[in-house]
Amino acid sequence: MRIGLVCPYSFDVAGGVQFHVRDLAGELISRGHEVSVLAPAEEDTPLPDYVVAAGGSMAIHYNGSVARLAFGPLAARRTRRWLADGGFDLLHIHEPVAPSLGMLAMLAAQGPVVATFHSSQTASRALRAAYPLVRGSMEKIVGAIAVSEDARRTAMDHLGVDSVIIPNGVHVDYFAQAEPDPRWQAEPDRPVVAFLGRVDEPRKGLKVALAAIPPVREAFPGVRFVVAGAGDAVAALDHLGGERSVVELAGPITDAEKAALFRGCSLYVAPQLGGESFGIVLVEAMAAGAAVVASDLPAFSRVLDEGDLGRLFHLGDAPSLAEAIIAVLTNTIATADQTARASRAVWRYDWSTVTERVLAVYDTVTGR
Amino acid sequence: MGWTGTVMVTLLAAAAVVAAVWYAASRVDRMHRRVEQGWASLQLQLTRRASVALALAHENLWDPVTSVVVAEAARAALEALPWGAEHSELSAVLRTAIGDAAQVEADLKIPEKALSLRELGAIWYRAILARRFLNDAVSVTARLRSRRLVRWLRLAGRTPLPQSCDIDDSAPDGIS
Repeated sequence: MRIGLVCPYSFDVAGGVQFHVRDLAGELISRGHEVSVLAPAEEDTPLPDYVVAAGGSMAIHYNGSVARLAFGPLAARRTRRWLADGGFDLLHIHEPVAPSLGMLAMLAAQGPVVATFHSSQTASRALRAAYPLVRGSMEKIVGAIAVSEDARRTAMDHLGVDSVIIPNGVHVDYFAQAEPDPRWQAEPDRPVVAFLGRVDEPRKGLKVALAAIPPVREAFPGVRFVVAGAGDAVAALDHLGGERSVVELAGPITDAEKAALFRGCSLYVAPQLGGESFGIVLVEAMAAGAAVVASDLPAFSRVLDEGDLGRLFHLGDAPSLAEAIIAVLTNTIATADQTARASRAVWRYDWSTVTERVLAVYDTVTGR
Repeated sequence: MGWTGTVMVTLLAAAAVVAAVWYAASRVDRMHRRVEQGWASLQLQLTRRASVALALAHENLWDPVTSVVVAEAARAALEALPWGAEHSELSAVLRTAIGDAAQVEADLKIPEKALSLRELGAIWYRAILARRFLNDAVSVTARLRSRRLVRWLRLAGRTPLPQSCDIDDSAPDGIS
């Protein structure tokens, strides 16, 4: 099959949707399909050879965070040319309502369209205003996919599109078989609590994690908090005072380092305050065998099977988080049971399963 | 404003109306095609599911009694084309034949059984998708056709209002 994938967010920066599109393309190619990915990217960004750069993007406040989007006449022209040159059997557009290449491709699409909704954020005011202009093209979506129940509900409420749920994919083996990194290896009296995510983005919840340090430190004086992720952490760490010595900044880390961190740490905390539709990092941590403590966002509760595969704490509540961390570190046998269950359960998110499902959607849509 | 101005404004307004009608008509037309393709796809996947079930009834997946019942239900579904309650019955028969999640887990450990179950699961999932996508197309079409512009100008032509497909296709636990 000749498949055209469209990613609205720039490949110049890391992001969940970008990774998903990249990995899906790789999986489809390895199964013998011809794939071309259209994405915003600067000319000098190194890209896999199946990615067609649609030119530069602009950082815009969108959906509660900053997204790099491509728009304007140049982006529209490149999108149309990519569609004309591609001769695709099927177009798979990710996040079709982001005002970027996806929406441009939707407007120009002729053949069958599959769309994946990633976000669970409510539609922006601007989008609601523009909706009458794009509603007609939304009707081109023959098969709609949502990555989670929350994303599905959002697409239903705001766009009236019913979608089937196919979760984000993870290479389970990659995480399960990674070598732990000695820098972040937990030891009996030196447990390692890992945090991952942009440190200066409030909704990632670093503040909540840091506020949980004192009680945890009281119970486990040797505890280390490893904070990995891009951004300026100075402001967040400023008022920590004596607890500062417990926190180690790892900065932005690679995929391989992430796997190594999860393999060696005692537990991973996900204190996000909102805006999460799926929680792929939780799945990655579970695949690596790390215990998970997460805020009780609907998306996280679902990924953790309502607390069966990891511990949930009250959203934004540092004492509740501290209590959960202490419980995980104290009840080692129960924790081991839980992580064993979790590492079996994550196979449903493995790319082998996810790709089969996406291909089933392609078959259904193209009538194969 | 002179008479040229009046003519210009009238012409522009007329052009806008024509464009709006043309746009609405093309959307209705596109949805009708989507519904038609949706039914074709569903029919294809349901036929395949029945064929796979029939083929499995001739393998050693089930005991002879179960195999006979599955084969009967599969044949009835194939003859009930394009669709009908026979497909719901086939779903129910297959769910009983396949058993609960624990049974499926045990069967998946036996390589030959696993292969058959996976094949059936894959095609079953496609049938579910086809029905979901069709029903979405049907409801979007109904919404579109209820609009005044479409009703008053009869943009839907003589095409009857599409019907959704309400067969029972819930899959057994643990497969697909």
